Amino acid sequence: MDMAMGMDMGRQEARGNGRNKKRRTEVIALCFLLAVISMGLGLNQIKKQQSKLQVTAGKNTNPGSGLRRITYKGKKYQYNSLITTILYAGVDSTGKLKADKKYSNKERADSISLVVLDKKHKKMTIFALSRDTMTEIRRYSVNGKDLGTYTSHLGYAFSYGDGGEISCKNLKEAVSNLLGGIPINEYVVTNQSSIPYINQLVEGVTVKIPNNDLSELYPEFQNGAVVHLDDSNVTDYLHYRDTSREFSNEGRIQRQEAYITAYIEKFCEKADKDPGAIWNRLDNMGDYILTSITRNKYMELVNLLRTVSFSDQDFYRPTGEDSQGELHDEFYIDREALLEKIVEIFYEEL
Amino acid sequence: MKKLIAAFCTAALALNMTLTVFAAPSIGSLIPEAPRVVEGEIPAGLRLVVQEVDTKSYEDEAVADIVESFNDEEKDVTIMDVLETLKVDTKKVLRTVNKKLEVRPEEYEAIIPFVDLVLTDGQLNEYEMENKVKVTFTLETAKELKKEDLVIMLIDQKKLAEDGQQSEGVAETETEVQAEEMTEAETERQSEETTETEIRIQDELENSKVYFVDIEEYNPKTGEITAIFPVLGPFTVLEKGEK
Repeated sequence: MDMAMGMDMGRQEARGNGRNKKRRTEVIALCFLLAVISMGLGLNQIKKQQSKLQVTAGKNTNPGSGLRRITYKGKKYQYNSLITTILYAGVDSTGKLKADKKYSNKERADSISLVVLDKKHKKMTIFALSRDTMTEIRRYSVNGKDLGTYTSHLGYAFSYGDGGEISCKNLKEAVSNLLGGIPINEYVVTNQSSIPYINQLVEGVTVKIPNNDLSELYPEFQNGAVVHLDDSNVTDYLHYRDTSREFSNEGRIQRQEAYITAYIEKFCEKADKDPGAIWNRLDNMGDYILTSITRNKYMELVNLLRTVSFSDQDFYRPTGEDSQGELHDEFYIDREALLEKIVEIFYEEL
Repeated sequence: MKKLIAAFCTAALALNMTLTVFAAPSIGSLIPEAPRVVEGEIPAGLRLVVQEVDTKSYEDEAVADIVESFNDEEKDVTIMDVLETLKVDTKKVLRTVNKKLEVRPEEYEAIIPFVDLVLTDGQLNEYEMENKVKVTFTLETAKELKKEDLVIMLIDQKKLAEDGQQSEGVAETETEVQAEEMTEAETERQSEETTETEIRIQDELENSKVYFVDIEEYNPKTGEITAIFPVLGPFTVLEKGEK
């Protein structure tokens, strides 16, 4: 197959990097991710002690005959079938995550990432995708009839489904198509209501307030004050921003950085003392997660995570152009650059 | 089982918290946005909006109930169910308000839940309006479709004088009957070429519970739709799919 890969490459040209910012925050996300991986490893050890699990790791992925071998810039490549991909989406809603009988007009996927675990090269890569990425998504009628695909914001792919599995699979399909049809093995979806549960895992976090953004809402949140974040305030602390005020995002980033840093410290402290306690608290999150990952798959992934490396260089945010749409912002990916990255991450030269 | 994978979600949350801060201004919902009046007079102090249905303000409880049921995420109610409940005879040939389009409801799918087109002062909703109004709105779910496949289904929330009897859509057979009844009026206005149609339609509108409203203008790139609404009330947009 020549380098079509199911994508209309070149349709939208590279016009600079519209999203090249906030490296520092990415690094913090990376640190947090690594902490979580560590947690996974710890949990794995506990489970091993508790019982002997039959886990089959490293199953090959069949990407479909059309993707197994490609030709790109005159060279032949083969798909790396020892790659496992996990789609993550954070959706803009509160409350329990569940499927409805009615489709469409569900919450949007606000943040979308694809975690790529490469067993062969012992490497992890994260594709961070903008919800405003304009791409082919599938839409459904209110009563669930498939109305085909059209070009729209990637974040709407979740909205068109049932709010449950169909939404997740619809988003999976859209991301897969955006990335040239690469297979996506699993998905994990959370929402704003997940935040307190994660906070509860470490029995709350104490932070030094980095700015005065929330001082009107919470008088105790004065810059420099030391505050304990619990169920009553953690969501506002992490999520709130005054959209009418310019650069309010910056203040939120500062708060999130402070939180993540404090969280990691608290987590390590708790995990050292009693990792089983954290494990037990995870049970409370059941209604606030949508996932395809089974217990065995989880254990497989934990084993895989132990083997892979990850650095901030492996955090990939597609470049492209921001554009003002009729009503909303749109992001057009530099598809040539994306294609090059796809070949680099998912393929091996023959 | 779920607790076993929750650790991944913690990682996901970390990403969520970082990535959302890079996001552009919010993309909208999948219901009509940015409505504006193209033609028609809006009473002073009020503005025309598209908003979530306010069924408690409806005069007709049957309309309120079926609209609520259709929008209920846990109920599997279809457009055909709505029409049946409102006693629209779907075996008749139904046409759009200006007769441009024949509508077989079973061929259509709702692409949005019911929403209200209503006047509001910011607090109270007002569904009464003397004249029809031409409105333009933008609908994400209507992008890249065909104008001829789209129609608006509008329900009159008023309690009709004839309620209790069969409610009618704008049906062809009904039109014929009403046209005969208006022979005198028609005779008087024979010289006016367009009047006959106008009278028939006006009469139908006064006796209808459900209207299929023509799309006057449509931009497939933006999903912008312009239509003339004979009444205010709950509406959805239907798309004709495969049979």
